[in-house]
Amino acid sequence: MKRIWMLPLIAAVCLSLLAGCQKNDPYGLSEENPISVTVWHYYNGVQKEEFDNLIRSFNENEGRKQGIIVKAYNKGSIDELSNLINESINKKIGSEPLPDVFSAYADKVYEIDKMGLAADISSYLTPEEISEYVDAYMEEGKFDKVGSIKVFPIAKSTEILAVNQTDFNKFAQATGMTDEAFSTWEGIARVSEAYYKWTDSLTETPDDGKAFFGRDAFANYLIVGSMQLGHEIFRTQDGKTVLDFDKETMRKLWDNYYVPYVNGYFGTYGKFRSDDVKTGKLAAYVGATSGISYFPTSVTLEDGTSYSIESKLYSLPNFEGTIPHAVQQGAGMMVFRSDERREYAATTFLKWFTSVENNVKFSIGSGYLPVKKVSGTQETLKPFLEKAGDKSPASENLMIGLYTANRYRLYTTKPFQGGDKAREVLQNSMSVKAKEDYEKVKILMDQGISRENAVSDYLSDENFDLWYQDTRKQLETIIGE
Amino acid sequence: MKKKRSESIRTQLLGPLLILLVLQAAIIAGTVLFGGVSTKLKKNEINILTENTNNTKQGFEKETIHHWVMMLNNSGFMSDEINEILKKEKQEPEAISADYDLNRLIVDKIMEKSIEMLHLSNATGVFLVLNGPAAVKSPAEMRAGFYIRNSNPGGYINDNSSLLMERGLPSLAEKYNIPLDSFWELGFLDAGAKGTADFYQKPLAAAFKNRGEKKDTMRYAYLSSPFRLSPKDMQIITYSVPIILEDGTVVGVYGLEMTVNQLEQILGQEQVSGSFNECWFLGIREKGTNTIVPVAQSGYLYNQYFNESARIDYKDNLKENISSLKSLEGTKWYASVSKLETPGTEGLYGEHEWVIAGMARQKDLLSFYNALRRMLLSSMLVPLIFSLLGAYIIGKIVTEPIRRLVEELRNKSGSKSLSLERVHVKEIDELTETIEMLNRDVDRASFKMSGILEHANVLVGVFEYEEEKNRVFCSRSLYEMLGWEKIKEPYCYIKIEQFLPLLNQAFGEIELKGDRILKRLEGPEGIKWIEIILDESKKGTVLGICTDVTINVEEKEKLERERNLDLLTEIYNRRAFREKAEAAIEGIGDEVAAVIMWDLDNLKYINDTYGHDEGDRYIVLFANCLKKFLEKGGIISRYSGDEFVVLIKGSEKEEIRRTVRDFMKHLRVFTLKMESGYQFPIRVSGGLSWYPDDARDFDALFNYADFAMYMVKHSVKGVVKEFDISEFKHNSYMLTGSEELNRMLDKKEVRFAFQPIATREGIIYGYELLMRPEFSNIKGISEVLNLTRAQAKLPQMEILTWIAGLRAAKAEVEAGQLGKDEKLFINSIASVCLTKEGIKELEEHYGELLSRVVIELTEGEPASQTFMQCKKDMARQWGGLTAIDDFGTGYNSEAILLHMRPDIVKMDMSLIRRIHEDPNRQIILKNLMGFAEKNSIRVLAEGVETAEELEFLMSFGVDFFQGYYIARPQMEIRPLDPYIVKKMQEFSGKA
Repeated sequence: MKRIWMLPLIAAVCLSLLAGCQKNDPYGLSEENPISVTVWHYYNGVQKEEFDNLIRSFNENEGRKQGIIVKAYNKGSIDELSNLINESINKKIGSEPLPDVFSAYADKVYEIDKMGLAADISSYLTPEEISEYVDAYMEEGKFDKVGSIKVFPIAKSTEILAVNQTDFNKFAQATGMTDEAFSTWEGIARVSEAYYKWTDSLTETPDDGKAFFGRDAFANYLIVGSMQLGHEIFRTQDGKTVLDFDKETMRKLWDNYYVPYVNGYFGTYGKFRSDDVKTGKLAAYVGATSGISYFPTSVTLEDGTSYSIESKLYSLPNFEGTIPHAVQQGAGMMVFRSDERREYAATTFLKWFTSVENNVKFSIGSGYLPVKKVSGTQETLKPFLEKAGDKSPASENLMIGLYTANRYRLYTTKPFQGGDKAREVLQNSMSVKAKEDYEKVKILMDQGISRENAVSDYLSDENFDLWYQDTRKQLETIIGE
Repeated sequence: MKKKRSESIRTQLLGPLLILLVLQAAIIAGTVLFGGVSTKLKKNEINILTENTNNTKQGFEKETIHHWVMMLNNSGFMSDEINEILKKEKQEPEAISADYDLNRLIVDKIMEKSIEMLHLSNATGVFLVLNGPAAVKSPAEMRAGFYIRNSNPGGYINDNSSLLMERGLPSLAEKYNIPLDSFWELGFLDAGAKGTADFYQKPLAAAFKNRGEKKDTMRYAYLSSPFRLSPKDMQIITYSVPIILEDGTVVGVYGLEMTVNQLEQILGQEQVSGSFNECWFLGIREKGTNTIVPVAQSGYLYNQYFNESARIDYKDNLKENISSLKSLEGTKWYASVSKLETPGTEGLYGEHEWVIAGMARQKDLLSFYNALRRMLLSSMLVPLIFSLLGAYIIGKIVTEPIRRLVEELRNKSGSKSLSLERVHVKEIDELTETIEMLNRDVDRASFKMSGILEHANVLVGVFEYEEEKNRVFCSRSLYEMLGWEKIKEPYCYIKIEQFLPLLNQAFGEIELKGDRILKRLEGPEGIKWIEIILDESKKGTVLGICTDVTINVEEKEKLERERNLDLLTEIYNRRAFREKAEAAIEGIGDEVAAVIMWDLDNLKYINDTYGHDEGDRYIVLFANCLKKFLEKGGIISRYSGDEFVVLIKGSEKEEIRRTVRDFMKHLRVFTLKMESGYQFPIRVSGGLSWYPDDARDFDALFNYADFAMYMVKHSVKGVVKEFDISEFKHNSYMLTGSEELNRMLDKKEVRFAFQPIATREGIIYGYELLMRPEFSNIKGISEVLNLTRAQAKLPQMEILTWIAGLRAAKAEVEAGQLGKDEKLFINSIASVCLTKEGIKELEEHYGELLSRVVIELTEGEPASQTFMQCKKDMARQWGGLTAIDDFGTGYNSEAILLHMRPDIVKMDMSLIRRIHEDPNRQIILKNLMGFAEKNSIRVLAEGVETAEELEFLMSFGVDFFQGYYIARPQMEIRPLDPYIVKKMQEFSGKA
């Protein structure tokens, strides 16, 4: 009898002993009860290593404290990644489950957002936090008027001109050329021609000159070039995409790429132009700042000849007499819509990843540009640059990239239905034609016809018209005009 | 029976409850904490780690090695492809080592399939190294081949966008649209950095060395340790096999790569539980050791604790089937180490094995187990505390009314008719009624009791002193006994202020403490003894019972007197004295004390002459004299018949000596007056021993005093002598040896030694028989004789000497040691003579020996004419001889010589000592020799100890020689030393 009145007390004490083990974290996340967030990305080589390092660091520190484990997988190129996402969305047989986060361009996100699968990141960020990012980058992920954000900018890149200074110097000494020409596309074409001729003169064999220049991401050339020359190819007007594929403009772009290319002054051989510099097939190229880590320190020819080279980076060339324009690229991260817990975990990771220190660390290692306003300032960068070496290609790359971002008009196409495909058309139509036609020229040359004669047919206005009309039709079909 | 202490209800309740709870708790604790459950729980928790590790290991193996082995097993196509190319190009396999174009073809062909394989495998890279040149102008050692890395292992990607070429020709990269990696090179070159080329060189070398065949390819599989392909590249491990053609030509190496990064990812994926408490690492262990070099790891804890560790040592804990280790800063870990099945790590390439270890901090792994233990403990503790509290409160509820009742009872006790308040608890109210009833009974009983006390023969007065209540209960009998005023009531209560003056008036100052007090009251009717028995059963309350014990006390006093006093002298007897003396010695402090033993000298004489009554008077007279010591605080006693003892204390010895001297003077005044009118003086001998100088304990003091007295008694008598320790040491045999002496004399057994006596020619003339008693307290024959003399046992000693001596001689004769003619010198005691019976006994038993006897008479012994003559007669009768012993030491040597006319004179050794140097001794000897020659007495020199003495004595014409130089006394007879015999003959021949 006498113990009955004690029971509640005992129970209370026991409960109090048991309690206190659990902390109240948002969405019930804790070290004991973690959630795992899957990330698909396209980072490769050095970038992947850098990315993985940061993820490990997150998992061991911040992530552990908050109960978030991030698992990241490379899924090939951005295009391949895009395909895999489509397969997973369509639940194609053999496809993997969708990740929580993946790397994507605004186009892709736009497409997925239309299906209602993209999460709104702004719900997990305070306005102050949003304002810390470069406005343009955040702007990219806003597709509607309510201000939701669908793309989390994590690293940006633009384009840069990289030159094998060792080979260029030899040429410059012999011909008196200077690097002033590198500031315009016209100049590049001129130098390339001269380089071809000079290399041709080095041997007895006629027409065996070497290409000087090549470029990656050809679509950027057309899109940014057209923009620069006053015509935004895909212009949004009253919510509709309008095509502005100006013939004259295209002719200028043609003259400064297709023409040198079929002549053999420009070239594309390996997968990326940096490979071509490595194997001694090109002496300069335009590529993404993020490809800088692939720029070689030596050249090795097919026959095994090998020599070291010095590299030099230049800002992106422009057309003569135009306002400098450069592409703003670099995929952001899209968070798939799921439950708040997952979305919270994903954005928490992305926030951490883009915090100044981590972002700059990743940028310097990978050649990307940081995404926060404060990250681009000298004061912020100084310690990091000193650590990497002030004169190292990585530092130079970052500085030129930031210079471009500040001084150039950065341009990126507004996402629109079919943007993906339209870009693909622009990527290939001229560049592939150039390559194919050059092959044909080469066959003709092999048959004993001189280069000049072999090329002449391809330099005609008809050839250009054919290409222009064909391309225009393709684009119009996509846009649905 | 032992009285049980009464305890509060609270305690009574609490006790059993507590015991019950503790028992309960102990049972739970016992079964859960220490029984199987706890151990099992712990084991289970540890097993989780082991199981996780095993699962991780299995998953990891499946994802990596199993995959690779399968892939490489299927790599047989390569040798077929190579063969085909060789056939097509019409080349021999040897051409591979020189023809780079051929190599390019082979590489191209194999690369295509390898890329497919790479996509299918979980590997991060695939490579082929041919044992031939890479390109025309490449360094000669650069091997041809390709090395492609995939950043998306395990996932199929249509284009090659996840691939990078690490090694290989640019043309092939172009062909397959594979970008070149940052550290791309044309071919494989051993840059010299340690281990970077092992991945192809080792399996190649192994295959070459063992002349491997195609089917044995997998035997040469090589799993590398982590390395970097290029210095700044990422860490990788590779798994490679040689490519062996059908004809046995080893043409290259093919293999798969996995980056350490990827290993860690797989490890992380395979890590079964997402728990942060466990961490994992993959490492290489030297076979048979417990040291692992970590390669890849997963889990944040690892980096937190082991980042710095280049190696991890662990210990196997067989009992718990787990390993344990300590991280650098000392945290304890459990580790489950599991060996990977990795073909290609053993045998050919050294004794390494790959292991996966799952680790968890011991406190984490056992956290549930520990928490459970803690909870159990607290769940035992908490009810305990509450139960105690509850018992306390309930106890209070129950005890409160009882306590109130008790309080009331206490206040009202003593009042005649008790009436108590009711508390309205049935049991307690019943108790209250009973108490009231009891009170009435007690009241009646005490009334009766008082009556009985009064009418009893024994007068008993009772009081109860209650300090707290400031009152004293007094019985009427107490009033009567102590002669206070008369009261009518059988008892009354008075205030303490009244009681104490009354008590003091009766007994004087008195304190009511202790068990019993005996008080002497002097009243008009004489002395009265009152005993008060006190009982302070409760503090502040004293019960006193006063009894008149006058008769008892008087009887007791009488008895005591009779017990302690000597009836004749009325001084202490021996027992009482001992008691008192011991007590006195104990409490002596710095003072000195003397024990004096007295012995009346003439008591025997008085008894014999005047009768015992007079003797008694003599004793009483002395005892009265002794009482003089009482004045000085002495203790006196009659010890026995005529022996008295006194113990007296003083600040110094001299004071006591003065007292004793005064006493001796005092004695002279007293005489025993005889009827005849003769006044017999008191004559007494005394011995005195000192405390603490002589001894500290009573027995020793007594014995010493006795000894001192004894010494007086045997010397001057009539004086007091102080104990002298040296004298005691010297003469104590007198006291202690008598027992042994008596035994010896009774048994007539004592050993004898024989000392040879030689003639001038070195022939044994005879032996002196020397008594050798074996006493523990007596040293030497002279002490024996002294004692014998003191004990007046000389006649017995004489007969012992003869009988035991001759018996020893007879035994020697019978043993054949003693010849037929040698003389037997026997030391006879001069002051006694054998009795006729003694002589008769000798003649009966040793008749044949008696003619050989030489009776030695000691010159030092005061001899009487009669005895001497007696001995001369004996010798004559037997046909023996006489000799004077120790000649030259006595008072009147020449006189005795004249008087006795012995046959032989034995010159004492004191005369012989260094005689050759001492003219005075020489004169004595010369005189003696002159006298002896004229009276036909032969001279024997005793104590000859040197050759010089012997030679000199010979030259003086001494007849016989005895002494250590000749021979020592022997217990068994032996012939003389031939050397000595030769010497004697030499000296005598000279003489």
